[in-house]
Amino acid sequence: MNHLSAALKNLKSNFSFYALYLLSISFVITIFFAFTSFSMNKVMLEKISGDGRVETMCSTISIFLMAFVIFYMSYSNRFFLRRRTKELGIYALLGYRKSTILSLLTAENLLSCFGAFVIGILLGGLFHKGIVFGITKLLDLTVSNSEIPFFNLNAMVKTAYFVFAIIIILSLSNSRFLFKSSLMDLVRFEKSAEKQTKFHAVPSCSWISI
Amino acid sequence: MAALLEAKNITKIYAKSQRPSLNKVSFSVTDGEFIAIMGASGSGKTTLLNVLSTIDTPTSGSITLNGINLKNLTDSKAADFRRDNLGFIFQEYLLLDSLTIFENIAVPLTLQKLQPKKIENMIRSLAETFGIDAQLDKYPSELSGGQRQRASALRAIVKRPRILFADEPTGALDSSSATDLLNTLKESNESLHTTILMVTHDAYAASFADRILIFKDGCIIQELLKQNADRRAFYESIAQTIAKLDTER
Repeated sequence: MNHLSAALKNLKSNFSFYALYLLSISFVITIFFAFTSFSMNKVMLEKISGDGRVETMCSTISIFLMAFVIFYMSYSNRFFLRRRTKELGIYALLGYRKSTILSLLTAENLLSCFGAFVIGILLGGLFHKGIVFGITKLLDLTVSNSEIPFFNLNAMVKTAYFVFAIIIILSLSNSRFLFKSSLMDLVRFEKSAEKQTKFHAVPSCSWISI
Repeated sequence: MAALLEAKNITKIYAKSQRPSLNKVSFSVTDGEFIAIMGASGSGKTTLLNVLSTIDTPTSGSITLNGINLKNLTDSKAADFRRDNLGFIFQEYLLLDSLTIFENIAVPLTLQKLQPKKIENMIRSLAETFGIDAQLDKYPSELSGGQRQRASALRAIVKRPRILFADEPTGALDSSSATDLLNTLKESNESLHTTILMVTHDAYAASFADRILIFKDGCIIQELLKQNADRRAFYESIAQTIAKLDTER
């Protein structure tokens, strides 16, 4: 059983657990892709902005959005990792090196981020179409629907790069967590693990509302 | 016979407490022994197990296991050392919930890079000997506590560890499952010559061992040997000793 098949098996048998994770990251990628598609949509931008103000606004928002997505993903990644402390402890006890555990976690993240990417592109494309439709109705513009592609290739590439960057960030944060905690922390985890996860729910909710 | 495990003057002091959890403990374990460590909670017996099994490090003193000084092990070397030499059984089973019992038992063997065919044969024959072949394809959540603990015992035994560490293995089990598990351990000790070091506070569980070290306040205060006594008689003498210690404290 190599890492990839172990990772696949973990994903499959803890489906409801991972579904939550997948859902939350698909959601942020959907928003990210929809927004990126919109800001790269020349047809629309030309119609609603003559002097480039909307473009500046878009690029400002996109920085905030990226920061939010990175924060949100590393937060939920850490949340799920803490819930799995015991499992990681078992691997370590059985003689997995920390580097091997890290590659297992990275394989899982690769798989779930890829899934979230596919879902995010599909839903994000749809969402983007919806926004365009809403704005044309609202401002009474004449835009022919065929001019706006469902999947903006540039936006897809940008989203792919971004997801890739996120996977690297998550792996770094996972390795920090793993190499910081001793086997004692991982195996005799009962007391410390639970408390910290609940506490951060408040700031994370406020972030979402922002 | 040369000692398999040799602990010399090991002391463990946690940052928060003034009193050492282990106070200059020295003892040795020979190959093939079944040792029980007894003592009240807080006496340092679990700390001892942690320190001996690379889970934790002692503040001072030296531990040599299978000819290797544990102090010299780096993180990855310690992981390899656990993979090649140590087996673990804990009170809370520690099975991987996403894997079947067969796969759980297979994990330590795959880590040792054995051939799948060989792994399959090893597990099937061991499962037959210990009577859990019907549960191999089930997931841990489908089994009773006793069955889970036996699976976790087999996962520890299957790779023929140099030494098996058991921390309160019967702590969460009812009495008949506990007896089953202890018989499993005893059998593996006798027929496979697995060296076992078991931490327990239960005199009944301890009576399955050949030698008992009794802990109090981080020190070994007494040693009991089974010698040629039968288990029942040994149990009586353990229970008496413990009761005597309890009234004296």
